[in-house]
Amino acid sequence: MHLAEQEGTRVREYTEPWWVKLPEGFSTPNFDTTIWSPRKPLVIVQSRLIDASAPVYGYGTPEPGDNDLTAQHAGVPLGEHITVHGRVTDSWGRPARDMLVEIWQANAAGKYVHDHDPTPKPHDPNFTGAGRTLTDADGWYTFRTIKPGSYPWWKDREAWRAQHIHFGLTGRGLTERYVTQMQFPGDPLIERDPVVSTIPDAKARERLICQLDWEAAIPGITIGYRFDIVLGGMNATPEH
Amino acid sequence: MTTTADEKNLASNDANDHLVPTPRTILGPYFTLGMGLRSAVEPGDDRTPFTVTGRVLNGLGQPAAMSMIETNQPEGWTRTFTGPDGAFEFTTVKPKALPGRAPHLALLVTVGSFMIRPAVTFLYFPDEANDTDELLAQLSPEQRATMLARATDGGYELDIHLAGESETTFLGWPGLLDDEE
Repeated sequence: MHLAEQEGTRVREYTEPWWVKLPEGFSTPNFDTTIWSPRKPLVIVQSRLIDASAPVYGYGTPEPGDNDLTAQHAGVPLGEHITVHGRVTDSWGRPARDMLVEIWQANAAGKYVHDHDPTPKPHDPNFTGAGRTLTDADGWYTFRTIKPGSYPWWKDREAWRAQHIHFGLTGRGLTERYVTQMQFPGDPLIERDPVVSTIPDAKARERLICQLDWEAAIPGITIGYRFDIVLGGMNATPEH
Repeated sequence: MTTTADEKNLASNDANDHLVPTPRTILGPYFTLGMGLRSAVEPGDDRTPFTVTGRVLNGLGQPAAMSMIETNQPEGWTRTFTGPDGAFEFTTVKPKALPGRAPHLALLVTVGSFMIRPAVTFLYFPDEANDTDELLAQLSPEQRATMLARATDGGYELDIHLAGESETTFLGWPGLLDDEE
């Protein structure tokens, strides 16, 4: 049962099946969904017909150090050094093991190493902002990185992107593909963050905020945060 | 839609033993930073690599720049991105045919600015026995036609139409939307 069916077209606009739509009041043109979004119904086929096409040997093995974004250059990057760890599970708490976890983020000034980033902020020669790792047998991942800076949303006065780290997860099957992002606790920009605002449910938005976690901290070196990810839509049947 | 007792039970126990899925968000415009890392197709034999080209287009035939195309096949995977003209290109080998299936590549298409999940379609080859394929057999001739690549000098070509007259046939599976709230 989907809320889209319960609440009619409002939720359908946001999420069914692929597209988000910005709420009113942000200064970017919405995509016209009649032009950009498929209009024909999805063709539903058995999962085995889809997943048979997945790679036999998975998605490659990250190299040692790929999960340490502070050690990819000769020098040490600027910013608050942090450890981010967490557990990836399905809705029944079963670990998603051997899942490829990729993150990408801005530097401490809020600047991406990317041609498309127009903000007048400095690059950090010691920070690229991309890492990857595999979850272990219990679904755990760990990254060492820096806390990213905020960055502006177009020329809006009141809308900035809250400090955030993007997450991309890839599992064994084609159907296991998940993209989300993590915000930090206490950030006052979250409330007017345009991307967070595309999620209609307030409780759901809270689940994108990590928690301070001293268990993950390296004394004298990093602040620790925990961000668990619960995957949905891929395991229709609980294990008994 | 009917709701079984078990479903009601799960929904009502969210705070206790049923974990609520993390919401999805868009890739954003800077995803090539993290998502452009290593990918590989390793056939393990001497199959000749070829190039697949195409464009991602909206319902008016306009290009969808900064879209991510991921391909899956038993021999591995690739990941590439469209340029300002919506064009993509990747190199792979023809997959071996699985029982009951014609050789095909799975394509996952994500328009970075606005999509929260990939749209999935398949690419079939014009020079294979596609009428033996179990998935294609479930589709109409019009739906099949949107998945059939054209031969080019260096390989194959297939455009992805997100909407419009020639809208690509996108595939789903049972449970696809179970994480929506």
